[in-house]
Amino acid sequence: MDKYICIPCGYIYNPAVGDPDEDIEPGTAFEDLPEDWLCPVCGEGKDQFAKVTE
Amino acid sequence: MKKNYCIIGTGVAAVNAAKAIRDQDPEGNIMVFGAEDALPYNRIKLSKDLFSDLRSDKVLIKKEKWYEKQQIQTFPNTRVERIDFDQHTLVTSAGECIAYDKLLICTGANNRKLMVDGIDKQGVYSIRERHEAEEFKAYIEDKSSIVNIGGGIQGVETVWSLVKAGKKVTILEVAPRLMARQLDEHTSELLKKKIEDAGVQVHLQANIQQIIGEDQVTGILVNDNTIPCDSITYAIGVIPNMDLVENTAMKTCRGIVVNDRMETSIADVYAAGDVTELNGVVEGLWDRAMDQGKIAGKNMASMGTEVYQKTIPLTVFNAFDLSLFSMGLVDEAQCDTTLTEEDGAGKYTRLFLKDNQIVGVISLESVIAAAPYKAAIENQASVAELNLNELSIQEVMDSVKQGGNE
Repeated sequence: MDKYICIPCGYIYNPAVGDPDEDIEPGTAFEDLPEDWLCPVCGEGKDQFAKVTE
Repeated sequence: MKKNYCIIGTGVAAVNAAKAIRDQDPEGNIMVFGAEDALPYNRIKLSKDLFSDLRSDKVLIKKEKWYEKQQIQTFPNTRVERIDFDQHTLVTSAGECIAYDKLLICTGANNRKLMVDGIDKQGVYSIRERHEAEEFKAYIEDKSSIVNIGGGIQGVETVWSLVKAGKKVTILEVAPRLMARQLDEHTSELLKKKIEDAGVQVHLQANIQQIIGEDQVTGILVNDNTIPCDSITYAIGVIPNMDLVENTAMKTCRGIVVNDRMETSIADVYAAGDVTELNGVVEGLWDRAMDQGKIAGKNMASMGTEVYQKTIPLTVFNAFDLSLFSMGLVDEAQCDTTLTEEDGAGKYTRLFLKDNQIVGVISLESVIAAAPYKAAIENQASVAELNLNELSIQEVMDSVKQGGNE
């Protein structure tokens, strides 16, 4: 599964970790996050994220 | 017995501490006191998105429902007037005396005041809190020319917001270049050019002498020249907000002195975020405040010994038709050497090396490309075996990555 980065702030969503603060289980793909999920660092929406190139 | 956890301040450190406490202690009372009139919000938006609706739910760090669900009590418009460390109590502006088992002070920082003749005239603003941003916006609504003092990231972001709102802007910076903390000379110079292309006047090494006007600002005297303007905003750094602990036994220096467990010099009292000084340094950074809040919260709830570790600083910049990121240590003077690559067509990447390790990078790319650099810095990958003079940055990054996978 791909990692996604928040373009305004640089926070990286790692599907292996999920987002425990919002009860997003480890193993949740970015695509499967709820549409109203927000960046835990800066509060931007999913549309501000891009796939990380590694 | 349920424990009482009191948190003074409503920034990002407070929210993360409350959350960490609740994770450890499902029973305890968590109370968050803040002088501002609303739930904790993303302060960064006050410069980045100045002209957006700052009362929108989108600006909040957590929505109201979250506090209900987590059973975290918030007390907006409530200043904590004093703390009695011996009795473990605090007194609020509502006149209540509240007992705490564990206390967290995260009162943040205030903007440093500009010391110049005329600073108290109408139309001069320095934005730290939401109501200040709103007052500034209301004041300049029917005005056109604004002077921004301070060429750090907050100032540059504010200027970008003003330009997008159609204002005529001048930026004044005391230092010889813009965003000197995050950028090297080349990228600073490029940023200046982009800002000027957007119609903004940039004055570096500005000696600010006087703010001019009767009651209201009409101009500013800089390097013996008067620049006419309708309003002035400034952002020239921050100072920890320690009023509450002045003349108490708590150890302070430039900030409230904490150890890496976020403990202050007083038992059962913790501090986190912009108000703290750790190892002689006041950070004043959003993501550091977030991490410190988490550590403080964990330790408050569990008598823990969780230790705060600095993450690698990352600055992302997307404004003035320029995308770049700056990560890690980018101060040439503290590095052994740097590797620069540019193609003359706008691509520019510079690696900063110290003790045969990659310690920092500045790149004119979207932050999407930042991951390999972050990994290399975090893994402290060695470049000792590489002939740096003969390799491209891409080749260096590839070698470092392979090395890391072995």
